[in-house]
Amino acid sequence: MSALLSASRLHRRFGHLWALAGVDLELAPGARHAVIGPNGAGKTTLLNLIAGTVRPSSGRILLDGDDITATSAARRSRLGIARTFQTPALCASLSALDNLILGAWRHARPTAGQWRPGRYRRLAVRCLRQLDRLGIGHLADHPVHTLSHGQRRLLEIAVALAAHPRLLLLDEPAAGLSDSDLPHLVTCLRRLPAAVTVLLVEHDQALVAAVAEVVTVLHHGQRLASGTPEQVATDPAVAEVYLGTPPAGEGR
Amino acid sequence: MTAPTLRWAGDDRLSGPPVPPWAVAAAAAVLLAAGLPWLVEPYTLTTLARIMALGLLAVSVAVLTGHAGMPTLGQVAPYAVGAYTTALLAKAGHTTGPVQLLVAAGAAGLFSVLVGIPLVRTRGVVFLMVTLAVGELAAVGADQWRAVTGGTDGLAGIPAVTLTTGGDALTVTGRYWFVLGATAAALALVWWWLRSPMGMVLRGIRDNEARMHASGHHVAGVLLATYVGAGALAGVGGSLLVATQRYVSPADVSFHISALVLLAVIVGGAHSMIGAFVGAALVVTVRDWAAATVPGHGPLLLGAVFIAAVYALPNGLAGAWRPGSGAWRPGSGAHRLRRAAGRLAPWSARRGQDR
Repeated sequence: MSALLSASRLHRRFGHLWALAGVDLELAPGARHAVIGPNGAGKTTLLNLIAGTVRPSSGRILLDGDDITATSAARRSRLGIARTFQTPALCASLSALDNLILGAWRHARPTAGQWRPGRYRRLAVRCLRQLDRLGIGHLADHPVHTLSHGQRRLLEIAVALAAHPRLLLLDEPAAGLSDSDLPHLVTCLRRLPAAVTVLLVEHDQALVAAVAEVVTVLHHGQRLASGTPEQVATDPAVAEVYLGTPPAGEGR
Repeated sequence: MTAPTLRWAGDDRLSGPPVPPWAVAAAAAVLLAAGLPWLVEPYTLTTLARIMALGLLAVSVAVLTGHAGMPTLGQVAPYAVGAYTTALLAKAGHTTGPVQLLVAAGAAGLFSVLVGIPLVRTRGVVFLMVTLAVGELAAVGADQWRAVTGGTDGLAGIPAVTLTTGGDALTVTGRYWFVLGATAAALALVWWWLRSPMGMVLRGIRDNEARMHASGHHVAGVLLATYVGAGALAGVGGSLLVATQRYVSPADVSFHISALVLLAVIVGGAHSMIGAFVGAALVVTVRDWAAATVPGHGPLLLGAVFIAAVYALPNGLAGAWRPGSGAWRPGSGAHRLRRAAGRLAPWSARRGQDR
C-alpha cells in the first residue's frame, strides 16, 4: 500500500460522547481530500487526531507506513504534518514575518546547528519572499494583532507551508472570511504544490468543490459517504443529513 | 513591542533603529552608577548594591512572567541557593568573586533543572501554586537546615570577596563596583538571550503555544532552558547579595522578599527587563529611604505605590516610557485595575470565570 496517511478504526470519546466512532481514512500522496459534515460530526476531532493535538481512544494512524498514533504533535510536525486551526493560531504580538520564520524554524535545512547566528537572518530573507508571493509582503513588519481576519488566515496557511509539509491539514479555512477574501483563499489553495497532500475540513461547498477531488462525509462520528464532489452531492443519505428530508420508505 | 528584530540592508521591512534609545540610556546609567562612589557615602553604596542584587531577582521573575508566560512566585528559591552557596564557599575560603558567581549560578541552575523538569509541564494556576510551594520550601529549608544554613541566625562573618584568587579583599567601594559590573554583565546576557532566536521562540510560546507545537517546536525544552536560565540569574542575584552584605539569613529569602519582587515587577512592567530592574530600585527606595522619614509606615507606602502603579501604569513604568502605549492616556481606571489584577493574580481572574 502506498497511502501517505492511513487511519484505521479511529475512535475518540469525550465523556459520554463519541466524537468519532470508527472512522477509516486513506490519503494517497498528493491527494486533495475534503471532510464535510454537519456541526458536531467529528470533523475537527478527526483533524486533531491526525495532527496529534488529541489522542485517539482507540485506532491507529500510519504516516508513510510508520505508526504515529502515540507521537507528539511537535514530532508529527517535524515528520511533515502541518496544520491550520479553525481560528488562525498565530503569535499575536510578533510580526507577520517573525511568525513565518518561527513556522519555518524547525524545518529549514540544515536543521543541525539551528541556533547558529545568521540562520534567523537567512530565513528572514526567504520568508519575506514567500510573503511577497502571497501578496502580503507589505505587512511583513506589522504585528499580527493588527492584521485582518482574512490576512491572518492567509498568513497561517503560509506558516504551515513554511514547514515544507508532506501533509497539510486545513481546519475550516473559509470560516469567517468575507466574500472578497474567499476568492483569494481559493487561488491560494489551488496553487498549493502538487506534492503536498491536503486534507480539508470545510463547510463552504464552493470551496470544497473548487479544491477537493475526494469528499468524505462524516455524521455522528461515522463515515456516511465518500466519493467525488459530484457523487457526494447527489447521495440521498447526504441530502438527508444536510436537509433533514428522509428518503422515501424510511421512517425516522 | 514588535520592533523589527533584524536589520538587513536592501529591505527596509527588516530594519529597525540600529541602536535602541533605551540601550543608550542603559549605558549612560551604568557609567553614572560607576561614578557614584565619588559622590555618595558608603552606606548608600551598600544599599545600591543590594538593590542591584534584588533587581536581578526581579528580572528573573519578569523573564518568566512576562516573556515566557510563566507567572512565578518561587524565584526566591534559586536566589536562596545562590546566596547560601556563596556564603558557604566564602566561609570555606573560596573568596574569588567571579568563581563564586559561576558556582552560585551553576548551583541555582542545577536546582532549577530538578524543579523545572516536572514544573514546565504544568500551566497557569498549578504552575503558580507549585512555584509558591517551592519558594516557601526554600525559606523553610533556610530556616531549618541548621547544619548548612545556620538556621535563623543565618551565616555571618563572611570574608569579603576578592576579584582574583589570592587578591586583596575588596572594600565597600570595590564591592560596589564588583556588583555593578556583574549586574551589567548579567543584564546584557539576558538582553542578548531575549533577542536571540530562542528568545523569539519563547515569545511565540507565550503568545500561542498550540501554534508552536504545530510548527514542531520543542516547547517543553525551550521552557526548561528558560526556567534554568532564570534560576541561574536569580542565583547570581543571591550571590551578589552575599557579596555586598557579607551576611545571609532566612529573612533574605522569605516570602516577604517574593512579594516585594513581585511588586517591583508589577510597578516596573513584566514585559521589560529594564522596567523590572527599575521597579526593584523604586520599591527598595520606598521601603528603605522614604519609609525612614515616616517611621513604621513602610508597608503603607509600598501599598500606595502598588495602587498607584496598578491604576496609572497598566504596563508598568516600561509601558509609560514607550510612546503609543502611553499610560496617561484617558481611559477606564477600572479596566486597568482588572488587567493589572489579572497580571498580579491570574488565578483570581480565572476563578471568576469558573463561577
